[in-house]
Amino acid sequence: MLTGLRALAAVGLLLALASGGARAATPVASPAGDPSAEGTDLVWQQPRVGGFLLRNGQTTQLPGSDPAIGGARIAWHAGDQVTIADSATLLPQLQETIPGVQKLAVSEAWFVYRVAVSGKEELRAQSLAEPFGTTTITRPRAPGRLGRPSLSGDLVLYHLAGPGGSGLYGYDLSTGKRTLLRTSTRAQLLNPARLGSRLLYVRITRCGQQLRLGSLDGNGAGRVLYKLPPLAGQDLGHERGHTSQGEHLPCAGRPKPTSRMLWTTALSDSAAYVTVLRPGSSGVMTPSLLSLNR
Amino acid sequence: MLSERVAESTSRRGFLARTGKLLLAVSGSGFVAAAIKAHKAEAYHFCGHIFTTGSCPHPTGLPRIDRAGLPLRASDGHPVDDLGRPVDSRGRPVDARGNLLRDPDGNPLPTAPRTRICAVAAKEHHFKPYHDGSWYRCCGGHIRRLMDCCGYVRTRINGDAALTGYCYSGRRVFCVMYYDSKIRC
Repeated sequence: MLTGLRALAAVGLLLALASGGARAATPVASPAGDPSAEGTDLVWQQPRVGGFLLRNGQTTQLPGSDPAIGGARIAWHAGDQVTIADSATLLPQLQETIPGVQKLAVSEAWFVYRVAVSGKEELRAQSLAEPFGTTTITRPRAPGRLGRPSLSGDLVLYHLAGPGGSGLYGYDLSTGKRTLLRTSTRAQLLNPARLGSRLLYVRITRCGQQLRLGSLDGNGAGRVLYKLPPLAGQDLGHERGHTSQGEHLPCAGRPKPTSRMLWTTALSDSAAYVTVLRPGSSGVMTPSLLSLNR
Repeated sequence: MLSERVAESTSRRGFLARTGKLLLAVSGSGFVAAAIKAHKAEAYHFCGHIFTTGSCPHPTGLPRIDRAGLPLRASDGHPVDDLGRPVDSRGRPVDARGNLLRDPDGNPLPTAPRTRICAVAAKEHHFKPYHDGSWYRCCGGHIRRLMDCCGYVRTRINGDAALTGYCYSGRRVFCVMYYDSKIRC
């Protein structure tokens, strides 16, 4: 009986998640988040369980957490032990101990990771051809500002978000050149992913949340692939018993707020992926992974 | 009572605007309460507002602010960020119970900007913001400080002609906001 109820609840949750808007979303897995895609392969993280690989309709648990896939390589970590493997065979090609490693990204030539050392986060890169030197990409002053990295060829993408605003950055590992791709002091821009000349990212404003697909260089308006209502409600704009004359409401149409939040992304030739967070116990959010046709 | 007579016989701008802040700061004395009670809080769109100028842009609607001019949710005075989310003292988003919101790895969700609402109005409408004078009223049993967001503007947020109000040095009122004190009245 309980199992049946749980199954019904899970179906209801996935249906609710899939009804976000803009275009049809397909639930991939729940709880699941932090996707990474290459071709038709998709990997994700299940909190407190580990990484999974979806290939040809088959889901396989990986021997580590926070997986990433790119080129012909796949990466995961078990504690501080990081493994880079052949994505076809899953046979390890490189293993390394990186204290404080949190999130990974991998491509044919590069391996990028976020670490937390003494409470400070840092994004580092390592050449897979010469794996004994590291490049520090960024080291924000306060924790919680640096997003999960993604990697497309030589270009690392990440967000920095804080009280001063947010920005999406690209860092070309072949040249060492950093580019500010998008920035805003009003909207929160998060979790970029790139494929070719296309950039996928989350844009959260006072009046709504969007998964946007646009050009890497910022030209053109881009498209909204998926959207959710705003994260906060609004009051009447006037006090009870008072006239509405002079009120100034933040959002037109009084959108009903949601506690679900768009989070990490991944992009493949045929699909865009986004993690949707929903409130869990004691403030820790639970992720669900959605797929959208591009 | 002398204090009531003084309050009633003095223009609100000449009296309350220049001394109210000091009085509010030094005490919740009967003098302040009497002075504020002497002025009837007329009903525009929120208590104490005395003209038709609109609210400053605020993440949750009613233009309630803290002492620093940062936005508070009008219903309960909880600090909110520019996305309208309740936040803790460090600006990090929290849930309805005050728990810090964390991603699935346990890291706090990214903070968003929290901007003074007069500064938001000024940025959106291209003027330099000033907080000049204030006036005080008794609202909901507590003293409310009402403030004009001033600038060298010709029109108000509503689009009507801007008025001097409690602004100084040739500046005019663009929009209004309020701070609810804990002082009973």
